Amino acid sequence: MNRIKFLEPTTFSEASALLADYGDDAKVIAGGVSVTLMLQQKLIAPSVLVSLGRISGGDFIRIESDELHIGALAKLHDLERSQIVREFCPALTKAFGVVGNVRVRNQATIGGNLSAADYAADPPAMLTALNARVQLQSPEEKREIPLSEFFLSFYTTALQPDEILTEIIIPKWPRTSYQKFSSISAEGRPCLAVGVAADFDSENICKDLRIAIGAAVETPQRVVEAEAMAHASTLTDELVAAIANEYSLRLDPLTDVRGSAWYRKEMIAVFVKRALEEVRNDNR
Amino acid sequence: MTIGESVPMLDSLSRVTGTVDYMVNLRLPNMLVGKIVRSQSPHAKLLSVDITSALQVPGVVAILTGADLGENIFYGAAIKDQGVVAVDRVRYVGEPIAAIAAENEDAAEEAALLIDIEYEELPSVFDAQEAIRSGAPTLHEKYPNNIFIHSKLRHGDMEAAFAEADEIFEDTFTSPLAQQSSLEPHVVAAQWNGDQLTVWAGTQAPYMVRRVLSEIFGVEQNKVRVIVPSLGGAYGGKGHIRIEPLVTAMARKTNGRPVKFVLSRAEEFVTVTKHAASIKLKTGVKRDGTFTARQVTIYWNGGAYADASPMLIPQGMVRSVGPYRIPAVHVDSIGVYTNLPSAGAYRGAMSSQTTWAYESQMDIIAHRMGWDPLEFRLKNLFVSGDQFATGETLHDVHFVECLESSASGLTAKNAKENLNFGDLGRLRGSKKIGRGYGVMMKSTVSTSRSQARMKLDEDGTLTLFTSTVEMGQGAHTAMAQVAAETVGVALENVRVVGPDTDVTPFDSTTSASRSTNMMGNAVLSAGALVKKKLIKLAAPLLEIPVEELHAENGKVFAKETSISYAEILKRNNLTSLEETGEYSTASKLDPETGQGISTPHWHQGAGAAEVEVDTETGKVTILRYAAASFAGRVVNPRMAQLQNDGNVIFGLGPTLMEEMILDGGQVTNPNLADYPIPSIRDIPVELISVCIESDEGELHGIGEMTLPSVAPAIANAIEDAVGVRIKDLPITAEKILRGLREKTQP
Amino acid sequence: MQIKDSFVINAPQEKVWEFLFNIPKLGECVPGIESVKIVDDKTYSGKLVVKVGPIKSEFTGTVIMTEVNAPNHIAGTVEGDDKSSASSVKANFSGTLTAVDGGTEAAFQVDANLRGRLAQFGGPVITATAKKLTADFAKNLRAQLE
Repeated sequence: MNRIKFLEPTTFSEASALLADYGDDAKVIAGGVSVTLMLQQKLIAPSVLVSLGRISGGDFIRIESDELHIGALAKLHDLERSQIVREFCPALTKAFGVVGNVRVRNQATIGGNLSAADYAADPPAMLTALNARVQLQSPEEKREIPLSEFFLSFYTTALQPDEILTEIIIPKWPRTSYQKFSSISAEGRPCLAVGVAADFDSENICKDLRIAIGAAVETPQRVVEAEAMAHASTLTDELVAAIANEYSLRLDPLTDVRGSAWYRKEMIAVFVKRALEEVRNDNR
Repeated sequence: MTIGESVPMLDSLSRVTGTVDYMVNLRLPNMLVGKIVRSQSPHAKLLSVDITSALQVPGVVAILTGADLGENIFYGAAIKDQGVVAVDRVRYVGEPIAAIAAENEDAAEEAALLIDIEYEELPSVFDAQEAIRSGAPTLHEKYPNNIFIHSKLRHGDMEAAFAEADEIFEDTFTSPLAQQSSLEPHVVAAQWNGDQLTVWAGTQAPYMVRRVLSEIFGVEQNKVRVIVPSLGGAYGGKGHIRIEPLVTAMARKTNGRPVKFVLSRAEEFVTVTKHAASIKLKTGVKRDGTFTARQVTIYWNGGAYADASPMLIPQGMVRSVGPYRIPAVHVDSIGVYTNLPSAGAYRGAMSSQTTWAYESQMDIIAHRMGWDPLEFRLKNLFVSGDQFATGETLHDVHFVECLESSASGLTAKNAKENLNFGDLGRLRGSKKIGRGYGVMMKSTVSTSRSQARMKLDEDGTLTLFTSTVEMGQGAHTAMAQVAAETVGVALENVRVVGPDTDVTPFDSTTSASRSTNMMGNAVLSAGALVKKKLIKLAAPLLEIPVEELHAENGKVFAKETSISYAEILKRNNLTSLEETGEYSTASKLDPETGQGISTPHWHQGAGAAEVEVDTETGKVTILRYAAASFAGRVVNPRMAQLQNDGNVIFGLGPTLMEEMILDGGQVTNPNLADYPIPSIRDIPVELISVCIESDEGELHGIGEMTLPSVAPAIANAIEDAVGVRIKDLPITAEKILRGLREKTQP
Repeated sequence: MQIKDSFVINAPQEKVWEFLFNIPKLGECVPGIESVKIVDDKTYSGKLVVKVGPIKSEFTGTVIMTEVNAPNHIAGTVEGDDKSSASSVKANFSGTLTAVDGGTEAAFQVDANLRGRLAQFGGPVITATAKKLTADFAKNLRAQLE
């Protein structure tokens, strides 16, 4: 009766061509973590599932021209364990390693995690701080956009109906930090995610700073004016507090079971401060 | 000697290899899939339920609505107020209005969407104290002010006793609506064969299910067979009849085909809950550190139907007093109807909420009076021989030992000394440490009966027929150990059968931590009878008088001679030997005063928590938790410890996480992402638990003892750490942070 | 959930008031509206499609005007069903127009109750979606009138 057709293309272009064919009736499935939940809760009812499971070579982790390239089909578990990722950016290892629990990470892919655009997630904030870019494949072409333009709103991304996220490219940053705050259960989704990427000169003067907030807001957000406060300065305690407070002031967090907007405003100040302290002390 | 041995659970291998036959796995020939269609309104008249389009869906075999119900439309364990499905009125979001039996899930799904329901909305009420006010909507005409039960305990002269007090404390504590969240949901299958009914049920009380189904459907109990396989947890949620009547009614329309209903996680939240409660304690103390009086007023939010509440609320009354010598005690334990899913038993039933109240108040009192919380408790805890507020004399009580064991567990030196000195928070002093205690006094069921039948075969196999339910707690293993030791055979030769009401004898229920004690005693009794018979049969064969014979290790023997059990049977031309043992208790309380005997024995537990509060976030880390329970005579030390440990971990749920969030009567977090339960990474950094045994050596329950103390012990530890007192569960980081802010900006 | 907001339209109050009763035109301002029908002088029926990422819902329902006080105040109820997601929504709304410097201030309040499967979706998502709907409505209304 309502049997779902399960298609298994072997390349990304084949997969995106299927999406173009079936349109609204099709849904992409990789690790299946988000999709299975939505299917079970009957929030979606596609007649076709386009599985990316048979696509080989989509899960690479490699360095190219000093940037980290990750295939969208890389599992969070593999990313968490990867030496390459750890040496490139330990904060990113942490962000991958705290998603859900070990059973989730064994299945979930980074492409799926980003495409689902669940606001209460860990990787988006860290990758946004790192100024990552994503490659989106359609039947005709491949385009690349900054991750900051990828998340549009709740569960909504810049993916066109026939596009699939295929690769994430991450530039190198000398100092990074990831803070996940779980207000309730240790394996629960975050109440707040803070990702920081920074560059300092040899005298510890800040050359560049990016702080991205996730899980407390609809899509990962930065406060550029607050980041600018750090430029050409040393991160003194006062400056750290000022930047943290500015973030708390400027952002309009949401309320959900993990915390109220008021609480999240307070936590933004606490965890931006902790992340900056970690970056300042070079606690990678 | 098997009692006292830490043998692994008998079915542990099949459990970890996934071959246990849970109800979810049940497959019957010709089986249909069942689906329930539920109310979207919290309170409404049901104007019409149109199933014509739904019936057209290919694969749909039958649809059940209120129109199909016969004479005994309304049922209930005590108050018959609930329809098998809603008849002319719905009273909570999620109430079953119709049920579908179909060849497959897709057909059932499709049909469900085509059932057209017309409601006429009525005003609704969700809070118990609002529901009793004049002007609130009435849910059931028989109870115009929505109070369906009011249990009273009257002991002593309150006015005089309060007058004697130097200080009087009045505090109200609340516990929210919560859900049992067993891993396996409610699953029931039913099949009619003429007027014979077979029900496979994920239930903790097969005989209760049998009785109620027999009443509802007008068939004799011996025509109703209830079979219960291993359950994937229950925690009280399966302790009373739930969807069995609906499934049975559905099965009546499928021409003899069995139909099986498996509830989804979201449906669990509207099937049974834990009572939300508001508990007011007015307590009088003297400057010498003793109590004069306690007045308890509890409003239990029973939900839309009485369900199990009329049994639980009087128990809640007894469990709300606390384990301390208080000369005058009055309790009003009130059950209120509201437009929420019905509440039932939840592990640590009623004590979970009441211990939260009385143990929290202990510290409030101690702080204000300048007393040490531990000393204050030790000074007043009951000892054997004391009289309780019901007038009964306490025997075999060891509250002091439980508390002392827990307290010393906190201070014991061990390998895990202070963790992570590099922690910035600790270095900077923004993390504060505190300690707190909790002691629980809980009754068990006052009137209940357990029977156990044993069959010894000529090959030496001992079969124990018991209606105690194995739900992962190891009950069958414990009973097998008792059986093995009592009869004197090796554990490997024991097998446990049941529950199956056609085969296994009566048992009231597997709940209230009664089984080790009650069924255990029935097993002891049956075993003793088996031994007695064996000896009697052996005596003439050995030509030795009965008084000089013993039975052990598969043999009956005297000084120099012995004969095996197998041999005894063979030479008596018996293929087997059977005996039934029974154990029962019966007592009651006066309905107006609550005086009498409330329980055959008391369940006792305590806990001590050391917590660390991050004052920047309010987040609590449990550094160390030491729990102790009184266990009488432990059957299986490893399993008993796991129960104690498991109770503490379970208790972290209601303490720190669990709360059903509703909007207009609709549950908005009916899933385990938004209704968090403790994960293995939430457990205390260090967890110690102890079972205290007594010389009297009576078999004792252990299923709930260390759970209720968790919430107050942690709340007390938080107050010790940062001076913030939380009176409303769950204790969230946000509540603590707000409390900290209020202290600095009052 | 409750949504309260107000905005200023650069147009005279009578023009705004009239527009509110131009049902076809008003319907065009509601994002996701597909078909609006006038049942009688107080009742309208229609279909509203709402998308949140991959989750699409179609509500078929009725709007009943309970108060019409020209030219400043309207109030009514909305009831809609989405069969495919076994969800329904019930809302009370009220709107007030006031002449101000620069045109007309339109203030409105919606008290909505979402029921069924979609209600489990998550508080912030539902609230944000509802807010976005009303914000887009306001924007479209102004575009039509200014």
